[in-house]
Amino acid sequence: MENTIIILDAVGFLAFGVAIAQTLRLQKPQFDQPSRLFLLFGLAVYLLVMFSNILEHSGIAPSLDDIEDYLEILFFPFFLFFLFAHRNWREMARRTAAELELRQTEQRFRQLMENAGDSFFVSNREGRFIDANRQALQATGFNRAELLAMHVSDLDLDHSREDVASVWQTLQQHSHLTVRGTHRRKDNSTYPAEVRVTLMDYPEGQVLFSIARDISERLAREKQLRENEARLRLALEAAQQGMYDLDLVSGNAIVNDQYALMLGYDPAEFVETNQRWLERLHPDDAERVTHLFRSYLNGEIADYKVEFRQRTKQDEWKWILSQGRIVEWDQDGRPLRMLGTHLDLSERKQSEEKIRKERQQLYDLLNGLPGYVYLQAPDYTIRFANRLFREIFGDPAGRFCYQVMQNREAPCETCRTFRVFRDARPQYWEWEIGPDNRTYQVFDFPFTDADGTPLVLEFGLDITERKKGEEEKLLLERQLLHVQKLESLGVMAGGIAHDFNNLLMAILGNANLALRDLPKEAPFREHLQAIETASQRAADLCKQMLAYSGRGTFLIGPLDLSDLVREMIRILDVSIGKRAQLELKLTPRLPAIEGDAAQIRQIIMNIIMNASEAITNQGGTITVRTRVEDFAANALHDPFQHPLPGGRYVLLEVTDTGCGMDEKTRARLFDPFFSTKFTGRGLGMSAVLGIVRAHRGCISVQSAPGVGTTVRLAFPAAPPSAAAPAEDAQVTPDHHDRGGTILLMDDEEVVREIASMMIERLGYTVLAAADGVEGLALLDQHQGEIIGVVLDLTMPNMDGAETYRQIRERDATLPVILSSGYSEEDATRRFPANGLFGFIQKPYTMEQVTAVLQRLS
Amino acid sequence: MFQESEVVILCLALIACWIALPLLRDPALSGRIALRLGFCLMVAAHIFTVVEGVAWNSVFNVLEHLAMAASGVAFALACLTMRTKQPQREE
Repeated sequence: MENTIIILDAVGFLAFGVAIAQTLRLQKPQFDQPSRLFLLFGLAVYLLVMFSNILEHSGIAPSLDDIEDYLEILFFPFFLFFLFAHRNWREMARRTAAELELRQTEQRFRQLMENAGDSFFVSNREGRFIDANRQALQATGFNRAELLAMHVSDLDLDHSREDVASVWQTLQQHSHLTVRGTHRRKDNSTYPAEVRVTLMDYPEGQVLFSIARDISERLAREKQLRENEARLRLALEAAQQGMYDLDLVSGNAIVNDQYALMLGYDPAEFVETNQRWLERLHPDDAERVTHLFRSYLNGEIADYKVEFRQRTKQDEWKWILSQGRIVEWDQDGRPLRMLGTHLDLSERKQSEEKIRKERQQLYDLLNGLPGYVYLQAPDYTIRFANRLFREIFGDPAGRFCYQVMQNREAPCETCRTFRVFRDARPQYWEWEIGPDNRTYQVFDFPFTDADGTPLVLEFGLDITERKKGEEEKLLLERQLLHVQKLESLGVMAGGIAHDFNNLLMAILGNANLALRDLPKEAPFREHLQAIETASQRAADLCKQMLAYSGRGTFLIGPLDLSDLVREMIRILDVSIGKRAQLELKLTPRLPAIEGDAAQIRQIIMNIIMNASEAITNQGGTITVRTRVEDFAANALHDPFQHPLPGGRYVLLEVTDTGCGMDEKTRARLFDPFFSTKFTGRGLGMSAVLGIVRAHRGCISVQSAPGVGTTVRLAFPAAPPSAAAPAEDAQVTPDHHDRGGTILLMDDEEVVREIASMMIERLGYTVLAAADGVEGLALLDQHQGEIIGVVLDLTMPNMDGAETYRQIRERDATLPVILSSGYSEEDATRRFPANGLFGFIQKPYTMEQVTAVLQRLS
Repeated sequence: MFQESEVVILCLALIACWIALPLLRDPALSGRIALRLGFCLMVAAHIFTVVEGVAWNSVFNVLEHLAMAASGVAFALACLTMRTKQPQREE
């Protein structure tokens, strides 16, 4: 038992020793010195108690029990002293730390206050300033003394002293108050300020602590923000744009008023969801739009911009342009939210449709133009081409103008279109182009495209037919002029021939009478015969001129053209050059033609002789062909281009392989007095023309230099019942005394004289008159004596036709013989058929006068 | 038979206990639990001392010395704790 106690005491001794050792190592700030000493003393007391117990129970010092009691008593005071000392020390340390922290807090507050960006004001209950920070002094411009002498209402112009008092009362119920006011600076300028006021304990008691902030910039920013918001709102309203905010998870959407109004709904009742949006889509648009929407959500396309039709509340369709953008995704990248706008495109679509229609009308108009139209760019590309252009030149897509229109590989050196680019002035010209080489009248105008690109608008009008028509018209005009020339020349030639015939009448008649009176051995007879021969030749010339003018002497009768050709060939055979080989292709039993055999013979002779003279030294062939052919009405034209009636015609065709004629020579072939021969008089072909015209036939000439010439004549076939040609009456001049009086009317005195002598030689008495008036007067004076009248056609005062009419009024049976330098057919045209007794062609001879007058008896 | 001094000491211990135990609740005092345990064991040892004079002398004598030894261990732990730990802040 004792040993156990000794062991326990030893343990206690060691434990208290450890405790003392640890206590000795205790340091500030954990422990103060007094409390550590009290604890050491207490522990040391019990170390001694344990040691005395060991000594007592081990029998070494059994009498230590009393000391032990005293020691045990000492422990409790020391321990209590330790506790109290430690408690006091802790309290003192805490207070010291609190005071230090308070001082530091105050210092920090002061630094914070002084260095703050806002103005701090401290005012007492009366509203007097008692403190302010540096920023407050800088902001107001006052120094500290000036500010501390001021009242709050002196600084804040918007609040009076009463307001300050009410703020104090308000803060009794609220932790803080925020007010706005206008603060005054020392220089009396002002600035807006926002003041946060709160109550604060201060050394002077409870005060108003105000934090003021200059909000000039903030107000300006707020104003700008409000303006920007207003602008955005106005812009959205002005642009008629609806806005949506779509929750892609729930499908619900928030939209603005314009969105609902656009679809005809009242914004107050309109609720939008993704499903409703899909249901309003037009069936034709639904698949396309939903596919695009899903593609955008899946990230397959970068932008969401689509046009579609939506059904409105009024069950109408409205075009809408929708644009949107995903603005929020979840952690896995799935889209959560989408913002976008709706724009009403209905008006734009209507405008586009109107523009499309107008454009289509324009295209239709351009395509309907009778010419080609295209727009050319400066790089020679073709921006537009109408239908006709494509039909003529093909599709111009991807090709240059010179490739399309001219099949060239490079631009033309003298490109006219490019001049329009250079000069900016229109150009007009004509050119032959295209696969058919047609003629186009081209108009080039400077043109500016909508994007400002200079272009050239070219309009090409096909004038091929017009040009051809103009050329034909010009040709006709030339032919008309030529015909008019021929006609006027014919008139002139006829007039000259008539006058010459009157003169020749005197020469030939006198020479004829003189030869009759002179004996055959008279020395002057040869001279008179020469005069008569020359006069006959001159008369022949006049006949040719009359033939050209169509007023030659005609003795009309049915003729066989082939027979006449054969007859003439026999005569001309010796005259045709030996170099020319004559070939006849004459059709037998041709229909007869109504004509003057002499005139037709002259035609044949003139043409064959010309052909013969065209044969050069190399030799050649002259082919004379006759045939019959039927022609429709207007198929043939007379030499003066008047249409001939249809029917059967007899053709005479003379072809030579001679030198031929150039166009210039051929054009003047029928001109009177035009000849390519040195000795030619130029009346041969002119006479042919006149004779053909007089026979109501037609003539055409084809010739080429070095090839030869073909002259083709056509005469109307006579009816089958035409009589045989009349034989010329055989007249034998005779000096019979006829008796009776002949009234001779002629304006030419020489004609009157020679005619009077010829008629008197036949035994008649002649009454001569210079015109119709004088003649009628003589007729009235010698009524019953006059047995016949020789009447000139052209006379002054009263011409032959009028005189004839007057004569018939006086005597219906009196024989009237017409005398004229014109042909019988031409001269008797103005007289009634069978009214005249006879016709004498001037110049006439004694034999011709006798032949007519002998029929009076 | 118990001694008068032992009873006096016990009374003194109980009075000290009445004063000390509230002070030992100070949170600023590190190791206060061990201190409180050690103080209580000390008081218990004095109670055992008085009781051993009345009955079971040897048993309570051992318990007295056991309580003292345990009290020393508790104070050693308390001092170790005070040295190594900062005191808790006052609430």
